[in-house]
Amino acid sequence: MMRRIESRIDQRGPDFQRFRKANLERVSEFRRRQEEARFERPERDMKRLAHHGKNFVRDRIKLLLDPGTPFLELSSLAANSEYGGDAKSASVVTGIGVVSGREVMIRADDPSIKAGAWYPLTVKKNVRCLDIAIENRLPVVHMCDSAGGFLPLQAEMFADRTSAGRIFRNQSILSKMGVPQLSLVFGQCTAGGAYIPSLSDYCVILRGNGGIFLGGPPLVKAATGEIVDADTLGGADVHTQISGVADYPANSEEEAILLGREIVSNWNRTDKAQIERRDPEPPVYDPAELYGIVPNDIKIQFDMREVIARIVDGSYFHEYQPDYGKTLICGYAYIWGQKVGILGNNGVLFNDSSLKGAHFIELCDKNRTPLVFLQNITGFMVGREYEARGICKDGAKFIMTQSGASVPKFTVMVNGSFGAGNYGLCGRAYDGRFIFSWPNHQIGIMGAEQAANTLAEVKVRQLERAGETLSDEDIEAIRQPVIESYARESSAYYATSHLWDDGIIDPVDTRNALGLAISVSLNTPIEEPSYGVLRL
Amino acid sequence: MGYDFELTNETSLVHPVHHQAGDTLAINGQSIRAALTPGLATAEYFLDIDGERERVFIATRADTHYIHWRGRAYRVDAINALERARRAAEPSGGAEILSAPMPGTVVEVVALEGSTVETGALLLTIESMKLQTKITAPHPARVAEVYVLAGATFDQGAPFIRLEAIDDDVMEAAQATPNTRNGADSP
Repeated sequence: MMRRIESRIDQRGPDFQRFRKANLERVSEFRRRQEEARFERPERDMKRLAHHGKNFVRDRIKLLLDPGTPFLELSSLAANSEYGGDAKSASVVTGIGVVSGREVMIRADDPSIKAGAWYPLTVKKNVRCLDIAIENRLPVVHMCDSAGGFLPLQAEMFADRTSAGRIFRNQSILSKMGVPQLSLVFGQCTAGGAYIPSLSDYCVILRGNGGIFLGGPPLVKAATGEIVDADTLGGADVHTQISGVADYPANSEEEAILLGREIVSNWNRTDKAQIERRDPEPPVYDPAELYGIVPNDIKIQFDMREVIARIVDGSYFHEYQPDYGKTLICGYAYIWGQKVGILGNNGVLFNDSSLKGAHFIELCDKNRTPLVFLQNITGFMVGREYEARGICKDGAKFIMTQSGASVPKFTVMVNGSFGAGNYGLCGRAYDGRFIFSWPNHQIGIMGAEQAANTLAEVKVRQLERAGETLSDEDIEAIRQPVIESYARESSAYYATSHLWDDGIIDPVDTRNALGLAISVSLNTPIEEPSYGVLRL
Repeated sequence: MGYDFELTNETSLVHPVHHQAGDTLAINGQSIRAALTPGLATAEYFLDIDGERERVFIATRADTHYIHWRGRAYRVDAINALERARRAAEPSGGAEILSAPMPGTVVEVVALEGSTVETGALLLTIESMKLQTKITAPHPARVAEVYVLAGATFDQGAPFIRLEAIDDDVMEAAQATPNTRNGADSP
């Protein structure tokens, strides 16, 4: 039994209207960029695809998914700020969907962009997608159609711990865990790419377009002088009749996908970890009102309870310690019938709010309740009084209990995420299962304006020490580009471009994204609670 | 846990009780056998009370239920018992000094000395740690004294505003314009 949150928003007020207008503009900009990343391709590339008898990657996914079921696409705007914007969605589509009644991770190369070549961020997105599969025991369906690594940038994606080798390592670990993988080979998988189908438990290969080889025909010719065509070297018949690299031939993409659906239907279903559940119900407050709640200026505070009221079942919320450490809201709620402990910022983190957060996380961890973090944080409080009270060690308690919690964690970047506040509330480094961001999100070691002023001041002083006298115009000429570049690098688009999150979402989709994310996270049993040493 | 149901200004405490033989409602301590079965039409239900069957139409919005029965419409508000207890025990909003939750500067003072304010009315805006926070009225009150001006800096705990109680008539008038959704509904 819980009580409903009583909203105090005045929908007719000027603030609501102003914020709503600003956020609707932000969301339409996000939608525009997402549509472009998903569907806009040069006509030449689409013609080439059609010429080879290939379906567009999005149509392949549509054929694979159970009709009418949701598809949670991840990082749709990955790589948007890099490579001149060429690698739309980082040239690979990843997401969680339902195939033959089973939740699966889908990883689909996009051959409409540079023949599906992998850029460094494509590799990062592939690794992240398989990390998610490991953490949440999600079976994977690969749709292979990539020309291989984009050679001019190979140094950035080959040798490091989380570079391309990690894709094949993650595939091997999934198999070791007993989580099945299927590859549908729609194009040529060359060199490293050949290991994706080879490391999958099941592999369907298309006659004609499909090919798997360690070295393609040109490389073979260069290496040994042997002249051989692609089909003879590594086509469907070679691999399904002679080599045993692939398991099933198919004559069309449609046949391959339907065969894939039959294979998935034979996979075992997993039991979900036990958490408290009840029948789901929608929030009583319209989620579209979220647009009027988040201000148009990152400096203006708002009540996170208003956000919670538009995400959780029935807008019911049992608030814990409502009168203590009031800048951090803690409490229990249900999202799509699944009980969660929510921590949301309502201001700067003080000693008491940090202790409250640490305490509440321990409670949730002990009673097996997944944690949802709603970030809008400028950081921990500074000043003599707070240092004397030990803000560092209280912040450390918060970070340590959060890092050590065994229950699944989820983060929504509702607005700002600055300084160590990002760490306390389960930023990327803390292995939450998923992070989703709203289009207005800003992130950085400090706020854009403060950082730009500091950076500009350092530059000005360097020049002055070198004997230059600077006019106000000179200083402004130094400051302005710094502000612009800092603003760009702290924007949600830059963050999502570099995979600091798992994608930007429309605020109204937050409840569905979290509901699905929590559901898949429960494929993995929750470990017993255990912690490091708290500095008391 | 039970609910208070308010119907035409009368409040009844209702506890649903589940038995194997069928569900009963304990209404103000009296036990009644009751069951509600959805009908085929939108919002149609059949209500069985102590062996009698009635056809009703029910529309629900949050905790407010609109019930159409025998040609008449009724509005029933379900009130969480804990929420009722909390409200009943809440201090009625007497004198109070609003003070600084953290050190910072005053951005804007909106409150006027002598004015009457409703719950949630903006009194002043402060800025601290790069964040602007609105200080609002916790309950209907009269602004007795304002201690700060725009631009002033302050320490944690510094007094901002002194509120004083207003007499019942004024308070009722202020409360008659609620800004919560449940209160804004009318049947």
